[in-house]
Amino acid sequence: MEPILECKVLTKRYGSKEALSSVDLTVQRGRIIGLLGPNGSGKTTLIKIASGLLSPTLGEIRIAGKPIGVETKEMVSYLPDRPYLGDWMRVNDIIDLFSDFYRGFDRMKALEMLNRLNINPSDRLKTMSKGTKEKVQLILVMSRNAELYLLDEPIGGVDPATRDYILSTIIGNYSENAAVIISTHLIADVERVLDDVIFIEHGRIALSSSVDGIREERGMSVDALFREVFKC
Amino acid sequence: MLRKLMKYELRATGRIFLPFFGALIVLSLLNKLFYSNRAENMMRTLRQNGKGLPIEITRVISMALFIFLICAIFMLAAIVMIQRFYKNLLGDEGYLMFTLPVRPWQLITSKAAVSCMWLVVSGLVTLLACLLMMASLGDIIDIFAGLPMSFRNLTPQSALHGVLLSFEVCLLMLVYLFYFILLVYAAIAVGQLWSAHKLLGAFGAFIVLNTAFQIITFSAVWVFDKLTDMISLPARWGDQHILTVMHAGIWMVLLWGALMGAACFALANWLLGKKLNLE
Amino acid sequence: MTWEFKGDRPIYIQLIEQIQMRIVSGQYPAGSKLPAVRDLAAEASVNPNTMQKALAELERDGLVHTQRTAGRFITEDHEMIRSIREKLAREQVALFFEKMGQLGISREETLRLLQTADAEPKKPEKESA
Repeated sequence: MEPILECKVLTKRYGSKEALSSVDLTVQRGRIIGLLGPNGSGKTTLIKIASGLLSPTLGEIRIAGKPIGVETKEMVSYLPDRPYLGDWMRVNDIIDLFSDFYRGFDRMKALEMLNRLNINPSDRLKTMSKGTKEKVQLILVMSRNAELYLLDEPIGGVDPATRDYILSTIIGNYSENAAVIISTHLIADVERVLDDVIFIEHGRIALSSSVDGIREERGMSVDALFREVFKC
Repeated sequence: MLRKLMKYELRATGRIFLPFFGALIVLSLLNKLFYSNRAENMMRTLRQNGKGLPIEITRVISMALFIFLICAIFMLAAIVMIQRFYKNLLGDEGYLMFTLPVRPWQLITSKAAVSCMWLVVSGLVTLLACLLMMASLGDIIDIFAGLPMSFRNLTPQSALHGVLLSFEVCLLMLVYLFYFILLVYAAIAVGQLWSAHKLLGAFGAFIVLNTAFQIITFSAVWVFDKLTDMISLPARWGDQHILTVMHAGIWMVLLWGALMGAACFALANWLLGKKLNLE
Repeated sequence: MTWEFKGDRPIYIQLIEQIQMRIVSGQYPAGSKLPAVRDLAAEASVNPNTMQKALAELERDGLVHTQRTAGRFITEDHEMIRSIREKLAREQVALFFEKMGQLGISREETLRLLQTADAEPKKPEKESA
């Protein structure tokens, strides 16, 4: 089957600084993948190129065999690492916007999830705490029926209860047809949820393996290995 | 998709403009009241009693506010034009706009069309407010009643020219408004290439682009001038009706503006499509 | 019983062990239907593919079986469950002897200790906890 994401010698330079260096990567459908690395290692750059927010300097990237464009944006559901929705909007307005533009948006699912987290859809984002805003964004992104989910630090600033909820949402949303890429540096929390992990360091892929493969071969958790590889 | 984009663009900008328009209309009516004949008469008696000052001040402030508000609306239209492109597309909100399944040209078109619309509407609302303030209902009726009278002296031919000319002038203004908006957009799109100094880059790009377009325009005029001299066009035009020459001139300027606008559009479209750098 | 995982071994192996425990202890009774993979994965907060792998492994051993449309069921072979229970018990005993050995206590002494411990009256739950 055609891989959902494929990068060939993908490179991104900012001036003389290389944020991504010749990254070769293939991601299959039906996998949940952890993109792990310290801050500034190139995780966000990779995700943003796949979302179409950054143009690569060199190399090739394809999603379901297609170059980045309108078609791939329809397939990719992207959660940025920052608030990106107009503050003045109500949650309802944004739900309208998502269902207007994205064919696979499931309004009922979004409302149900909002309800479970006690978020009132007629509230404006402006009145919400940072954590609540993050939850709203995640709910919208996960309510899309996409083929590739790119989640940039989805559990970064949330409390443990919400973290569990987010992870169970990701598991509950699992589909054999879709892949999920989660970038994070909080590995212990997500390890159990992942099929594979990709360690990224200074814009290069340092290691790519399945979680159980690492445990089997090295007798340690991915978290422990990560600490060993990226020892300060 | 373009229609949907414009719908959301209108919603996002309308909430900024409409209160200002409302305030302007209210102020124009207030001024009408303050400067009506009855108010003048009242003022006269008050002034004789030496109690006119507070009301006098209120009248002056109200009128100053009206003028200030008109300036503010046009400044707002210009700021919103820039902000909606710079912030909504190239700021954090761009993370949403550029992950929607739409093409860059649709984003640019929606922004430019809505910005242009607000500038035109701002002009119309200002006109309406001034009319409301200065003219009584009778005056307005008189103006429209007088129209057929003033048209009576026109020959059908000159009437046609008149209508055509007003249409052309409106179109000319619209085309150059679009050109200016697209020039600003192109400059901002160039500016985003320098991720650390986006705004500075945009300013620089604006100056460079604007100068470049002016140089090209002047060169084109110069070439055109030489060309027409060479084939002694003015001599041949001499026989023609002066109005025909004017129409031709306007259409040339108009097409030139459209051409420059299209160049800016193409530049912005290419940059947002192929060189996007959202950081 | 909650799902718990240690860092040193593959998660699917730990899942197999814990599902075995649940079957042996009767939490998943013989012949009963297992929840769907996705639900089971969500309950344990593990990757659905990992859960799938663990279940496939259990299926190969014959402890669970799939009925084409109805889902996955625990075996009705009580004999098999009993033998697994015994196997797990033996493992625990072996482990226990090993630990006692590390404390320097011989096998005979360990057995004597076990007998005396069994003869002592049981302490109330609260104190022992």
